[in-house]
Amino acid sequence: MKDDLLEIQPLLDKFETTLLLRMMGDTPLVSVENEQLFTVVDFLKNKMDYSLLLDITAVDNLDISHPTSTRFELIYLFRHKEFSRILALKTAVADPDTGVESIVSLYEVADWLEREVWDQYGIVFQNHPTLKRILNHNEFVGHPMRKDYEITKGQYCTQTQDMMDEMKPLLDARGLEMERDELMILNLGPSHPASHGTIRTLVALDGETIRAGASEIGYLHRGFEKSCENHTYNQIIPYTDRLNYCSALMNNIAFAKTVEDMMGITLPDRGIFIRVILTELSRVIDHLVCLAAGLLDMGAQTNYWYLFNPRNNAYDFLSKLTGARLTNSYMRIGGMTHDLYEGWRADLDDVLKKVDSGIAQTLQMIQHNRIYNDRIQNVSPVSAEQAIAYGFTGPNLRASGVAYDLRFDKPYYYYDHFDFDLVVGSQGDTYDRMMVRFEEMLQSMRIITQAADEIPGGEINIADHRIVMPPKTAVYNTIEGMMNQFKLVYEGVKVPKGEYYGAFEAANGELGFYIVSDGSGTPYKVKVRAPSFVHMAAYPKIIENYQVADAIMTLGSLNIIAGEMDR
Amino acid sequence: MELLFNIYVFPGTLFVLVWTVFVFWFFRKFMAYLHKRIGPHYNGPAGSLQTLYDLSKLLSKESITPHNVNPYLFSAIPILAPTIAILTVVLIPWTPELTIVDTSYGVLALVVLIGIEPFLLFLTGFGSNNKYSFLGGIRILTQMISMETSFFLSALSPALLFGTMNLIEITEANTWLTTLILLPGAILFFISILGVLEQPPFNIPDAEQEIVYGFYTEYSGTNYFLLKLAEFGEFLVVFAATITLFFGGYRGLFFDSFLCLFVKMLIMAMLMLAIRASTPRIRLNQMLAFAWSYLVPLSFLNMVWIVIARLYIVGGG
Amino acid sequence: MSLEQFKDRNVGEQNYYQVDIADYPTTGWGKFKRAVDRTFKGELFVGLWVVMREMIKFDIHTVQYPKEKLPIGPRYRAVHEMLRLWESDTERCIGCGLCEKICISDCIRMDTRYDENSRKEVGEYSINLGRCIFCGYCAEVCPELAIVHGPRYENTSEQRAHYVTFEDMLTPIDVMKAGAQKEYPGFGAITPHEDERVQKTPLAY
Repeated sequence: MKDDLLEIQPLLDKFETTLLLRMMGDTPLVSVENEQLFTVVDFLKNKMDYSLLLDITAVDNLDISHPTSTRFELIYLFRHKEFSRILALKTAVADPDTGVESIVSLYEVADWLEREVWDQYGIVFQNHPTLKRILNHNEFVGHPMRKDYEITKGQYCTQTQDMMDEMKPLLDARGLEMERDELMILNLGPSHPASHGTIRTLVALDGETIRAGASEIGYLHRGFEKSCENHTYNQIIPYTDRLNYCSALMNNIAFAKTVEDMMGITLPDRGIFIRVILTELSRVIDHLVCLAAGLLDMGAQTNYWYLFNPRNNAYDFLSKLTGARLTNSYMRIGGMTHDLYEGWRADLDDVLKKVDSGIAQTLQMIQHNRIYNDRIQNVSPVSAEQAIAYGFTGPNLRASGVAYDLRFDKPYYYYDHFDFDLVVGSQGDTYDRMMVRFEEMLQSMRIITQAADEIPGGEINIADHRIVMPPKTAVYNTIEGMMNQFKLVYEGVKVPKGEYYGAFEAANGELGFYIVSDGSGTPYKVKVRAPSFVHMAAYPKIIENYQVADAIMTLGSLNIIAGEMDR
Repeated sequence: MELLFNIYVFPGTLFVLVWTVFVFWFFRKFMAYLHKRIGPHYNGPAGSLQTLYDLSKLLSKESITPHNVNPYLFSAIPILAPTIAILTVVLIPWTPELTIVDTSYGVLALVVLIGIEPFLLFLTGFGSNNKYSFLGGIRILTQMISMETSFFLSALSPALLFGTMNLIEITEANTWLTTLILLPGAILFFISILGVLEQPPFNIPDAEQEIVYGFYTEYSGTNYFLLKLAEFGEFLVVFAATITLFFGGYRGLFFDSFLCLFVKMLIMAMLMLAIRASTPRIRLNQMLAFAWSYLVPLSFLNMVWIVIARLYIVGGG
Repeated sequence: MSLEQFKDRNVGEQNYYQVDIADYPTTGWGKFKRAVDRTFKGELFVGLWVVMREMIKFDIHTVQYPKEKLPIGPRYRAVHEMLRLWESDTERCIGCGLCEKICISDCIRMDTRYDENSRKEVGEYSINLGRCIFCGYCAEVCPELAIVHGPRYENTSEQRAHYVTFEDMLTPIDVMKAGAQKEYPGFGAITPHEDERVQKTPLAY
């Protein structure tokens, strides 16, 4: 705590009006005057090296009991260039129609993040280049995340947009003209075989070369964050399954961990080890999906089967353990539903063996394959500086040569005790993004083996029955247990008042949950910091001047998961 | 009577249909085993009737003609393409006795008829009023122009070696020694036909993941079936042409018959499928670079080699 | 922000694993050497060989679904089952409403009433399987172990309405025939003007 305060001291000294409100865990939350926001962010970026903008979100204080000066507050989350520290800025928005100054000129990633805040909360960002809807449909009326927007109020939107309002400035900026330069506008998506979900990218083609691109997302938007405000903490867990459905367990764990950190509780060691094993297994599965689909986009069909067959074995294991193959819903706040079953180790080892041989076969086929190398080397390279500016995290950032991994930089769940390597690439091109994933799977399997060897016995859940369900015997046989059960179901797990940002190294990058609690069993606000969302924001920029065939590969290697992106 | 038999049964329409049905199944089954799957399984022994079921499904489906297409172009090509593909069948010596058109310009006619097919497919892309089809059409054209040079050059090497363009004479003149001499030419020819037939790694024009099957995008039902028939008819012709030109056609180790030709063609199909299974697709500009800076110069070198071999090894005049 | 800065950071004793791109030759001789190297190493043929090697193992992974089925573990969450008491053959469900409360997709609906002995009785119990996400929370919270997840995962229907009930314990058939089945308000439910918006599938043309 002391060190963190020292870190932000220059900011507090420089600007009289900034004020340290409180600590969210070990993240300082600093309040900033509305007018000074841009200057403060500028200072943070250039003088204090908070180079990675994680997220921008807003809080609607309409329902909150404690008196606040304004209805809307904006939250900015920054990560220091040494990655272990986070800083949160809070600014009160007096009038949402006037809003605040946009920070797109400082952080490129702020483009989509600010659009999302405008879309969901209706807070205007001055000087934003294209402040339009992003997750909701362009015909949508109102701002759904405002507390006075009814959750059941659906709207029928039918008209598609031609997106030329985004494309035109892009073309103008490059000095291109549709007629003169004989450009062809092509819709890559929404339903395109290689878009891996429903993503629309509008590209201006010169022959086969992409001159400019613009993306439209939101086809899978289902109001995850709005739904969270209507459910108890435990009820949200099945929803988190559907964020990144390729590694559903990891989202479960990330959410449960954030809430547990908020309440200041830690699982027993056995629970933590199970979570580590399952996290890493999910990471392996996620990377398998990404690589198999990416290779299939290149026409390398056989690799798809070599990688998907072991994935199926892994799902069989998960189905036996958690009760479902894809949407596991295995975690609960304060623990998980079941302990490991009898004979899990043999099954796990079998899965690992098969994954290992699948990876070995694939690598044998492609690692020195000249077509493979020529196809994806030096395609859409992202330099380290660019990657940070785009807000990349996870394997995509590591491929650019930035050694940032929360498991190293801020170890949780005993990750500092496991022996594994941090995988980094050098060029940040499609090749690196794919090969980093290959190697990360091998490292993950090292962690799984170590964790499975060292797994201790004992409880998997914490012993506090204000949080976890009482055992069934207690429910059947005692009135206290029965009442406990009813209380928990009806009121949910009570989380102390306050706000918290929890970060988790998910398969795609930093998966963060920003949760505001009003002390009841239902979160006041949940915001997901989805890695795919920021990766997708960069996608139209990095495919420029590459061919259609390259753009497909780049999309595959960025591993955009629509469920997580559109939420 | 014999002519009717030739037109309708062998090596005419029925033969091409049976071949299409069989090879479609064979491709799927073999590919499935390469992928660790089982492929068609339920209909008929080992799923061998699966293609017939698919065929009947395709024939009974509606052929959708999209708005704003050129209806003549859009509908004419699916008829023209298989016709031309099947037409080529007449030139091939199927058995020692059976060649329908025995001409002294066999090689030339074969090459031209095979080479014209992709242009028809290019027209389908052009007539579909779809940007993906259009891109596919342009890709076919680009690939055709670059691949056909080496295709022609390497197809001429047996003609040069044996001093005749008659396919029967080429088949008869083939010995172990000439096969060896022609081997570089055969490899070049094989690579070129992968490009001409749009097979991996040159399946750039109908790359599903990039341009949504290119020129096939707008076709459905019967039209789609006809285009597929054209594709498989072309497989038949090209395989038979390769075997006839380079590997002694219907001649076998112990006896000469159609069976020998057929077995050789299946081996070729298996090789093609193994390549399909193991190589990723290359990019358009890489294909161009490969064709013009490797294939074409090598084809010229091959010609030189054939001339030298003719002068000093085979000892012809 | 240079690359060195990232590489020199002290993150513990672990090593970095660097994914490398092999150095590209720049001189003509280097390029020639690489071309020769690649030709004789047969990089492209390795793939061919691997594919063939894997094929002759005949290690088929297909599960021929209607004939074979994947093994279902005891924890598997599929269509619900309502259990009866061993002693009296009556339903275990006491109508406490916990499952209705916890249900995330609001697909459980329960009506209870007092019978002639002033005891609570479950009148109508339905699970809208079309909306159920099979999360298992209802089974988890049930204090009587009355609702559990069974192993039957094959449920398909032509009509959404078929999903609303399921045979033995949901809406009785006479209620259903009387059209007294109530729909749920909210997302995913049938909207008031559904008939005008949805067109019939042409079955013959």
